[in-house]
Amino acid sequence: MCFKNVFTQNGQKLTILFQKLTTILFLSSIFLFASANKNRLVLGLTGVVLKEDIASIIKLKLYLEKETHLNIAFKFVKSYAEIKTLLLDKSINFAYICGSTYVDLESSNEIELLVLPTIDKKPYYYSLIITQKNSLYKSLYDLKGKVFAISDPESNSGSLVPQYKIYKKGYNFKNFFKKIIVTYDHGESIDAVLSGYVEGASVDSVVYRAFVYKNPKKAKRLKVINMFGPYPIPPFVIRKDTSTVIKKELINAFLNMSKNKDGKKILKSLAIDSFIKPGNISYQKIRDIKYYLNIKENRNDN
Amino acid sequence: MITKILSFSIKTKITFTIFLIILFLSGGIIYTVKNSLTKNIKSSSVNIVKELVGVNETFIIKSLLEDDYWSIYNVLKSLSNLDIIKSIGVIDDKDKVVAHTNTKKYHIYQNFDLQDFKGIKIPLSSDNVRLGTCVVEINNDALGYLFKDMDKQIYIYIIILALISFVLAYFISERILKRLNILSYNAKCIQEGKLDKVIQYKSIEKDEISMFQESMEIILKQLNISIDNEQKLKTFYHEILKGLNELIVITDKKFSLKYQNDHPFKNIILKENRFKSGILVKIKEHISNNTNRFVLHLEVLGKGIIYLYVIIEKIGEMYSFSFTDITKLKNLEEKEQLANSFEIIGEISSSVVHEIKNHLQPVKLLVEQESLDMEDHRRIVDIIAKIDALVNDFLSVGKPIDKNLSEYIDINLAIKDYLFLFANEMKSKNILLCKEYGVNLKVLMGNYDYELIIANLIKNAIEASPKNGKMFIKTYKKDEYKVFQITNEGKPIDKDTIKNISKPFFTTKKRGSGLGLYITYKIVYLYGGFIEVTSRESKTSFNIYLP
Repeated sequence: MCFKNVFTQNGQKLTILFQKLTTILFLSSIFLFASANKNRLVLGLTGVVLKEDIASIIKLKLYLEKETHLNIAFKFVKSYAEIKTLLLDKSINFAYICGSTYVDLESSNEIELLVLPTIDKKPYYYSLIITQKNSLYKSLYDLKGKVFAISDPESNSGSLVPQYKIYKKGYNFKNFFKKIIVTYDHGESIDAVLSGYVEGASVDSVVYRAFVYKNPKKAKRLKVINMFGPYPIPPFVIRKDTSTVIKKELINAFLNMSKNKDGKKILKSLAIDSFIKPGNISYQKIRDIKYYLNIKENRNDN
Repeated sequence: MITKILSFSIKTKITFTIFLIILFLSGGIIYTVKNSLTKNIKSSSVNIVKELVGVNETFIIKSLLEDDYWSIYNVLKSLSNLDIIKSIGVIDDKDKVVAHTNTKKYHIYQNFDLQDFKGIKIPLSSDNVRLGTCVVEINNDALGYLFKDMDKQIYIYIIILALISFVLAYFISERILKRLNILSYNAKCIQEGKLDKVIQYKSIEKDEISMFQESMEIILKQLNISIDNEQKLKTFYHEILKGLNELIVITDKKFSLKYQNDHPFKNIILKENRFKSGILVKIKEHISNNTNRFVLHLEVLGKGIIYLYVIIEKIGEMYSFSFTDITKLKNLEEKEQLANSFEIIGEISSSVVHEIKNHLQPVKLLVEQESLDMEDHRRIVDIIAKIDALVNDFLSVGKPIDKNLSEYIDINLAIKDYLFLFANEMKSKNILLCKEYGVNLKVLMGNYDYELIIANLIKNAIEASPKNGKMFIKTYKKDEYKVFQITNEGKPIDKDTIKNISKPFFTTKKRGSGLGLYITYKIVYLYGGFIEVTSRESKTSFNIYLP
């Protein structure tokens, strides 16, 4: 009896202990899962980066992970329209997007500027019109009736600027070119010119700079016939609902890139000098272009 | 070029011939295989391209419908990275270029002549609606790319085959040349008579060279037997020659010694493979005079004078000399001659005495008369004249021939001289003389001796000839003799007379001493000649053979 009681008492104690341990393990796993989920960020990338430079992008990911202790994944998105959707539905936490995309997302009030790349210490870039070096074209307007490549239809430098310039010159963009080839990527637009498939293309000066840095021989076969700008540079944006700590960590990591060896290497390969805080940069210029083009398109539709 | 190639060694020729045969054969086989494979691969490559386009057809059609030309171009660009595709393009349903990798030739919206296009045309259709065509140009050089690895192997095979062919050719030529060298060496041994050094070689091959080798061996065996027989024969002849009493010498035409048998006179006649100079001079002299038989007398220290009877025979380009020792014979002859001389002298003496006595008998009767008239006186003078002629002939018999005064005499000249001297006698008998002189007939003898012979024979012939008869004189050469033939018509001489004609004091003439022909015979004999007498019907001929 005595033994039975002893066993019964001890069994109850063990059951209580087991229940406590199970509870602790369950709660800690939830905590770990929650904390892991919380620190996982997705970086969205579009044609504003040179996709062929995947090694540099991975290095950037690793750099940010190292500096912020965050778990960062990156996702390439084909079109600017798609990345807008992904940012708004929170599939992507932060992204490197075109200025025109930022202008479109501004009104949603869910996105804010994170950092801005600088070229020659300034957060501005250009829209370049390129052709093959041996071509006779001297300006964008010489390409009338030719095949022309644009990156994304919503890209500022890759599509909006040439449209704007053509309209401004008095032409109708819709029938200015024989055929417009949409490559969805500044790098591929450069390839389209090099292959001869198109006679000209409009590309981002930052991407073009990165391409020249990476492919100096191929670059010799190209020439820039127009350089439109400067325009506010494509920014890194982040969802506003991202924790301030993470935002801070990310900003610091970006800002410190030009100050350490690994960061400098990555910046060089991306053809960027450094990252700066957005400050009071204005994307009004792009906004104006978009406004102008909307009016033109509406007229054309009517 | 061909001459240069022919001048190469057999080894080089065989090696290169086999190498070229193997090279051409292997090259031909490889070419045929490659050609066959090329045809198959061409048709295969068309199928491969069709399948590749088929795989991407859905994406191309989708991109075509979405107006996404850049994606189509990218797909085409990827496909054109294959070596098999030279260029590839997509043409829309209105035969306008959508995208083409040959951007220099084909531009977007450019018209494309599908009918004239020689490449592969793959229709792009969805739900039985033709949306466009994929046009592909096959890269012919791509076949070379497919053969790249094979080419490497081909070169390796050719190199291996070349090496094998070289080794094979070397082995074959080595085998052939080894046997040919043995054949050549054996032939040289046979040529040099070194039969003991001939190599016996048993080859494993059963080809023409081996057959030739076997034939050579059979020939060699037969040759060995023949040589052995010849050697035995030679030994046999040597033994015979050794046993001969004569010294036999064989020389070439320059009198260089080729053979001599073992004979005691060898050292007397020969010196250092040649005749001694004095003997050679005499031999050459006789050869130039066409006298191939003569007696050679030599004074040898300790032996005195030896007499050798020499016979020279010309055999092709060689001379054979036979030296027979006739010293004993000579001595015997001299002794016999001396005995004969005594007998003759005795006979002659008794004959002369008898003749003189016969002549003196009537003289004695006449002298014993008291008075001698003129007739008696004339008869005595006549008898004394006869005795005087007899004594003169007798003196001639005793006179020796003088060989020391021997000289070469043209026998025709002496004949002509004496015919002139006897011209009156022939004229008085009206003898018709027929002459036939040979040329270059010279004899070595004393001029007086020769004239005595000629004079005696012409005189006898004239005396024996009848009036109005014919007389024939002919000189010619027979063997080593020069022959003087004199023939006269008249009563033939009987056999008994011919038998005794050479004997002294034998005469058929009323007024002859019977010593004329005896003297003639004696001179001819002493000069090594002889006399033949024939008498048939009404003709009698004397043939004087002089060496």
